Amino acid sequence: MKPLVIAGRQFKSRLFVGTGKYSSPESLAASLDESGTEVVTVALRRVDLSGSDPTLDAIDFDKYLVVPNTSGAKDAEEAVRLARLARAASGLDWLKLEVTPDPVYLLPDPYETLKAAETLVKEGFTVLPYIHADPVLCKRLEDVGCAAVMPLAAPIGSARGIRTEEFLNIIIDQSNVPVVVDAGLGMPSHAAKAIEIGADAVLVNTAIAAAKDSVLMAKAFKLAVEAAEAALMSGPVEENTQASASSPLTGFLE
Amino acid sequence: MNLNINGQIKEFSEEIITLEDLLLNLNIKKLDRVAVEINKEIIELSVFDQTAVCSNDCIEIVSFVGGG
Repeated sequence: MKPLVIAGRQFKSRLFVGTGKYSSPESLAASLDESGTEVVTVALRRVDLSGSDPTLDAIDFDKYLVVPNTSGAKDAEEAVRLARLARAASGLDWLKLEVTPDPVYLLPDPYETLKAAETLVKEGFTVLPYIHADPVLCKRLEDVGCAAVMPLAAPIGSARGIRTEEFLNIIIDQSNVPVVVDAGLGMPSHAAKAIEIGADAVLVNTAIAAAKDSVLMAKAFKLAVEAAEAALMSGPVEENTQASASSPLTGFLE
Repeated sequence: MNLNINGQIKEFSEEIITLEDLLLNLNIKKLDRVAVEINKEIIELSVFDQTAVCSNDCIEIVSFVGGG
């Protein structure tokens, strides 16, 4: 397996973790720690003038690469505005670009995402776009200079697992930038599957955050991703339609 | 002086001259990783203390929250 390198930066963990929906800042901090992740995502919102959000205190900006998203953006213009604000606040160029005008399925708008990506890459951002599992769009995003692509497995927070496998296979086959499967992974087996089919990394939020014991689920996802990685490096056997005996075929009793 | 901050009209004393004064008054620390737009223009952190706020300015103050 190739090491995971995005925009020249190498990561040991192939599990990226979102920071939304945790029951408490303590649960978030402990889950991030347990997951072994090196990359976490955050959102950008208006400051609550009546008091600060304690969530942020749970995220160690020195320990993790914190990648702001543009959630809430409904078109390219809004995404670019949020991206610039995020950069001003974080001091970092990394950005998870998401443009999701549809409030029911939160599916990303391909045209607006591509438009925003083009602008943001020119402005020096390291752009990781959240998109549908569309191989053509992935190539277009790669062509305009995105550092990775983040195709969805299923709608955000749906926990439905990998529903886009055929198209993820094509994306993985064609992509010259890392492929991070994002959204819809509900169980550790889904994350393992993504790595087994050749994804470079996965991003998980709801499955960990909304589990009753987030820390334990963070551990489960970590183990699953590591298991899949080890399996790929072990040189797994090819699928076969016929049986191949595991026990010797000689020395039977007469 | 009235300022529109994050969509709310708020009244401030005339002693608030710079953006830095305003954030102090709102109990927001620069270390909180905030970003500020005044009338849709982003103000860099390094010039908060040199940026004047004027009556009727539309100010957005944003920061990070948990997200996926």
